[in-house]
Amino acid sequence: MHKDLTDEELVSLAVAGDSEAFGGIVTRWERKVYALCYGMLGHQEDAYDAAQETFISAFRNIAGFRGDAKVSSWLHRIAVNQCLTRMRRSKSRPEAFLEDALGTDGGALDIVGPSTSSPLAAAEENERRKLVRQALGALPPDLREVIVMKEFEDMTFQEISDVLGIPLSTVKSRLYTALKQMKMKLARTPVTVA
Amino acid sequence: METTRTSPDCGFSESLAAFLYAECAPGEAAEFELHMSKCGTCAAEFDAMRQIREPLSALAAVAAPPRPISSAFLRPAQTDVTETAVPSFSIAAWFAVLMNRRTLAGAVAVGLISAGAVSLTLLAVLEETPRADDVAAVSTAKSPTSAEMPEKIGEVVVAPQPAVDVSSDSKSDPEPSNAAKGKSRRTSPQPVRENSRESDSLADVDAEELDDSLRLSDLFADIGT
Repeated sequence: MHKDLTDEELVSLAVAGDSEAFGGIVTRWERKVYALCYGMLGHQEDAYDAAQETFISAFRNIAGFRGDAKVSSWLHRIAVNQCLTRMRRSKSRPEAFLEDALGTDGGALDIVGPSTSSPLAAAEENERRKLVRQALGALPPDLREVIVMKEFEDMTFQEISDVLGIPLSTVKSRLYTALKQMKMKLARTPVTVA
Repeated sequence: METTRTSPDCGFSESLAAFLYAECAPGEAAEFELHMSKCGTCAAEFDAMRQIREPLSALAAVAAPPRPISSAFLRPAQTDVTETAVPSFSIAAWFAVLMNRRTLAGAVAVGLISAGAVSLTLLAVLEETPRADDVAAVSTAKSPTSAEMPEKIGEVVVAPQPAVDVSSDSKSDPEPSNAAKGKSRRTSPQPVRENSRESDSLADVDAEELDDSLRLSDLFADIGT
């Protein structure tokens, strides 16, 4: 019914009392918002709850949406704040980061398919991916959020800058720092295949 | 000039990130490529970061919600897609109902009032309902063949009958209770009936008082005659 409308038009309709319009926004953005929360929190249920709270908070404050930012940026900003609040409340568990959905052995990553052919190489690839997600979970929140927005959300530097309210150069430098810290952590833990 | 800076802090960190994600400004990519061709550290850094990105993309690929978030609020999809179909309960409507504190407060108040009214009604019904032991007493008293029937209670509850029949019954009935019953009917059953009306329960009637009233009724009957 509202599929052809833009986000801003949906928000205007929702503010005007169209009960279906906000549902359209949720349906359109729930996957992206969840992915962001999942990348930030690393646990399925926490991410699901944070995504729900994001939409609840958005609905509560929809009348105050001024339209000077994109709806997606607005939602992402709320989601990031939800995640940061949750991370402050309960210490994240970097050693188990992203493991409840993927399995402790990283087997779920085989969904993508190993790029190598031999079983040994495939095992090494899986082990490497496991180490990468542990390294991601070990990042501080301000670095993790830019990595997640870039890798999980495929957002542009400018969009990340808008969501986080930081300069474009800071986005780039944070991305560089985040990747460098991950590289250093991975260098300390060599890939070992049992 | 730029190529002399070969450490990671050579000033190309932002350009490296931009080049890695293909978001370089115009001219920036060419400049960085030129730099990387002469800076082994930046080249190694670029390769290492590119390798990290691959598994990160794999993580992102599986980051899908276990169930649609909207499913927590929406009814199952309608099979009838015509415009005249009853619209499903939208998320916005759900939010509106749930998040409206006035609505919540009103619902709680109505619920409390309803619960109170139901409780009062139940109490009233329970008070009007005869207790089980009262019912048992009445049924026992009305049953002349009951072996557990107290004799004096039996005197009270038996309905008055014509004096002629009673006198004949009393002669043939060997039980003392029936004899007393015959005595009361022989004179006047009215005082007994008055007492039984005044008592809440037939089982609660004091037998001694009834005896006194019977004697008085005999006396009044004698005076009347």
